[in-house]
Amino acid sequence: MTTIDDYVGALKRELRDQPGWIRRREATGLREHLDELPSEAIGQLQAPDLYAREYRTQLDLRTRRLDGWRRASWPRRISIIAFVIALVAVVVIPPAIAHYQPVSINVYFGGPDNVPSHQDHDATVYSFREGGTIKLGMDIRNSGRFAATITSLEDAGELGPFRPTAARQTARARVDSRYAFPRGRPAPSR
Amino acid sequence: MQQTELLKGVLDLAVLGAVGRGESYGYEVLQALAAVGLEAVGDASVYGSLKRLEARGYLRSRLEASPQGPARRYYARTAAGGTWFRQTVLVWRRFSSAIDTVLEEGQGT
Repeated sequence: MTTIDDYVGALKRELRDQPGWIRRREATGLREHLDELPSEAIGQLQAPDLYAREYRTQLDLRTRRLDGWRRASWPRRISIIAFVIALVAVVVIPPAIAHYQPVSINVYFGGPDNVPSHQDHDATVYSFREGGTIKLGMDIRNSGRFAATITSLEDAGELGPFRPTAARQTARARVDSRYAFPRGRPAPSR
Repeated sequence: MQQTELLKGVLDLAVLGAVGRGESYGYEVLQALAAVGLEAVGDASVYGSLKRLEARGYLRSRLEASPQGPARRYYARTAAGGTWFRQTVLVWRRFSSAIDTVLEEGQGT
């Protein structure tokens, strides 16, 4: 047996391209109208879908383009948003991780000005006396927002002496207490 | 041709006429139309027409509680509805007369 709920449900489906407030308004109005009909009159109405279609043709409602987003329920919309976010994450995050390198290294070399040197092809060769001083320095700079742990260095070839190969920001940097010194103070001479 | 197709252009006029000068509710309008031979007009069309006329300002409505059953919505013409009704009746009479003339001439040949 067809009930008033069937007619109201059919009308909501018929008006699914309309904003929610119009659907609610019309559904409420139709329920109110059908409630006042005698039960024998309800039995003589058209089928719910036909009734809803005929009723809609009487309303001055502009047909709105149906799109998947408007038709979707809120749980479905949330699942679509989650899917899009997951898809973007899968596409963007792995390359970003693979290319993320916040640590740069600068190695410098120095010695007394009177250390004799000569060019050998592309290289500068320094000749140190016994007891002479060689100064080697290395700046390691983390320009990223996170603490980094350098796990290895490799020969960078023409780009420089070393290149950090496994610097990741996942763990807080550990400082070996043997080499730590207070910030802002010069490193102790060794 | 179906009666409903012929009625498309004049349904609002018929409904406004059925509402009359006083107040009427949806089912009463439907019965009034059926009583004069417009039984093919469905409840959905009549109810839709009432809502449309109300939205256009030609009808106003009020909900009245009923001791026997659910509340009933009564419709009445507004001043704008009365003006539109009188003007459209004149248009309809000219139109109807013209169609009658054409039909009579068509039958006579």
